Amino acid sequence: MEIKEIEFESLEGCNEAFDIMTKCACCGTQGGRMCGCGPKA
Amino acid sequence: MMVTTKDFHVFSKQGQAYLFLAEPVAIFKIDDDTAHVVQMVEQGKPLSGEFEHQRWEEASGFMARYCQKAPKARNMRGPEDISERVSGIYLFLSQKCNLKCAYCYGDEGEYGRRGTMKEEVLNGSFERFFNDGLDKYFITFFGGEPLMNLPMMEKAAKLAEEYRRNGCADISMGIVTNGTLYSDKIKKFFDNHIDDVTFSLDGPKELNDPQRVSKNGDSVYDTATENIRKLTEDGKFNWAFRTIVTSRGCDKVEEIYDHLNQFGAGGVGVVNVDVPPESPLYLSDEQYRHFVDQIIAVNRKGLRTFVDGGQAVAFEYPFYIMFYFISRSHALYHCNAGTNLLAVTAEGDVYPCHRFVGDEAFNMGNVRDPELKKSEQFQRIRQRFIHETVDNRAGCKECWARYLCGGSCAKYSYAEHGDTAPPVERHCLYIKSVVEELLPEMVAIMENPEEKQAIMRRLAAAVSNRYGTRGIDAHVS
Repeated sequence: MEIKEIEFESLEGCNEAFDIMTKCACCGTQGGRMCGCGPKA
Repeated sequence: MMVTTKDFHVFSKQGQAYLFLAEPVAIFKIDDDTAHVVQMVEQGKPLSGEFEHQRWEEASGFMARYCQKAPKARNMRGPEDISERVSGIYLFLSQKCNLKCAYCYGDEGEYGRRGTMKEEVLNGSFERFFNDGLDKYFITFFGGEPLMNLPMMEKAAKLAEEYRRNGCADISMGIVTNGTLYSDKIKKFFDNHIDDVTFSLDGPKELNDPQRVSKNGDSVYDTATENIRKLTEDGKFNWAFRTIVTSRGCDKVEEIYDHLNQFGAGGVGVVNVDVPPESPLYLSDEQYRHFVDQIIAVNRKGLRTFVDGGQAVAFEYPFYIMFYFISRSHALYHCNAGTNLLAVTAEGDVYPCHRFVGDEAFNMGNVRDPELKKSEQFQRIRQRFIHETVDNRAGCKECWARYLCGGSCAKYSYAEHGDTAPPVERHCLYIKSVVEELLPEMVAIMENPEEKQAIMRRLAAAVSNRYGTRGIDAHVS
């Protein structure tokens, strides 16, 4: 059997920000406080 | 532990097999023979011969050991994180609208009760919901068209300032508007008080105007786009588009994204129309599948743009899926309806969210009632929403994609099944398709050291930029 895990490393400090940004999500994307507010880089 | 079919999922894309483990939120590349055997078990097919049984023993043993030793995933906003406190409210400042959109679910914004919010209701909303300590709260001005009641919006801003000054609440304000109303006063208000704006617009003029129709005969597209440019030119707030795709534009999703992106929005949120099947705007099953394919295509393009350093037109799904993996998080709810988020109508009635407004079975009480939050009615409905995590929703709790999904919209479930819990078939198709198509793309990025570093940096920047948490010290190892 060949199996290889794909590692998604953690982004330290971002969990809290992610929690805040999803705290008032009103749609299924869980994104932002309103539908459609995706990330702005 | 023994693994069961709700713990794993096997799928293949472009000749490569993948194994997904739900509980630890982990993804693996696996060989084809193992994938075939694991898939047979997942699909409930009997195994035959020594090879298949031996391979399943090996694979299931691996999965069980991995699940046991993997760090426990965290719940993203689980029931344990939900207190008496409600984080955000939708305020229906105006239950009337200057448009008559062909697909409006709110009876031209009136929801059966035309009117505007009065000061007593606004004060009641603040008193009921924003008195649980100086924490972050959110208000979304909604309607109808909320700018038809600018005076009450200004009063809300004054109240918010007062609450902040008195150490009662730190309130961030947003608005969902059709963009057709503009004045210097509105611009000044947006610049000084609003943090997030969602403009409703359905793409190019030829798609938008036949379905977003003004009552005065003007082109909604022409008016709204001119106003949006003026309102957003100083860049004082985050803003995004909210777009409804109907049968008329369901084969033009990429065109819609590209068109709206020219305006410089921070995001474009595209959803399919919510109308009964007999409506000419309804998407047939075939049209819906094509719609999902296009959403995947634009998000795939967005992911690539994001990695390459550009401003992605559509990136919401790769973004959230990646974050579930990065932070090993479980999405337990579709959204915050009824838990952290409620809606207050112009008359002060409270509902789990804007979509339930007008359905008396979900009326939680009125903000004029000082005992609102203690009432049996309020508590019963709120507890129902808090209880309905994916782990408690029949039809979701056995699904491999449950923690990347959170379940379907409670309102859609209620409309389709008369119950807020059962899954909506189209939503399941949507989420599973998005995950199976986009996850392999993310795997490829994670396997490329340069791209991995680039995307991790950009993700950290995206979160901290957008939400004003610039103090975050994001490490990329």
